[in-house]
Amino acid sequence: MSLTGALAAAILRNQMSTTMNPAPNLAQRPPRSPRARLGGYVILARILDKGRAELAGMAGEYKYNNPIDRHWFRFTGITAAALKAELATGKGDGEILTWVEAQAQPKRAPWEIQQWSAYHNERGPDGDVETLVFFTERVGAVSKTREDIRTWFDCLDLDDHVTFGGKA
Amino acid sequence: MKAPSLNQETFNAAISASTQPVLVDFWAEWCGPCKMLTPVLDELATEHSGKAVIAKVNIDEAPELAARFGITSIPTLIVFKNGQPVRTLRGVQSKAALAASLAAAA
Repeated sequence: MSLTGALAAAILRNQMSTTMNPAPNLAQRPPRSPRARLGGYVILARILDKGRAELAGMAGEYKYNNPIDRHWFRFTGITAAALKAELATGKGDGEILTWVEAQAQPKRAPWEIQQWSAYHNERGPDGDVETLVFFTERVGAVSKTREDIRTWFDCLDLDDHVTFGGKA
Repeated sequence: MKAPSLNQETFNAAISASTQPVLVDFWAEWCGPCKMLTPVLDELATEHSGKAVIAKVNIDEAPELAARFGITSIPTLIVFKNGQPVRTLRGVQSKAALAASLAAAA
């Protein structure tokens, strides 16, 4: 490669490293906790990690647009496909948040986002018997003694911790 | 008796047509305290049948109504008399407190 070609390649690599948002490898570490907030929203930061990882083929066992993610998609009126297409452009969290705020329908007031996030932060398996059984079995699969695990976020955090070598 | 749901199209007629006090609960699916209030409102609707109207507005389905009444947290309950709001209650309320608000507006 000529000196000019090598220089051009180096410049291109440098540009890519500063403009593309690197995808997390979810086979090596978990996505951010569902409790991590972005723009006041719980769940969103985790969705972004899973979406970026899936685009890069590094999602491991994690699923983008799973049932918990869908609560966020319903609340904002944004589709999983539209967000994924936006992630594919390489935007960082702040740029994605700006896009989310522009796209969300209906437009949410800060108090709505805060109250929605607080609800999900504390939400447990409050549905039917099948949901309760599913929750109990999922917690039971990683710990037989953690009776403090009461919410879906507790369950996800524990599962992430144990999946990557932590002790329950 | 389940409290009926009102929306942008049905709200004005339901509120202004009633000669009885109308208690409207502004709520959403993602509101835990709202879910706690649901059975209380259903009981109240049964017990006050013929004396008052108990209704609900899902703010996700009727954001215009939430904006019109300045809702900034849910649950918010507004008592209407002759089509006008006469009392606003924010947060979970006991059945007794709601019954007292309706009695005061009767």
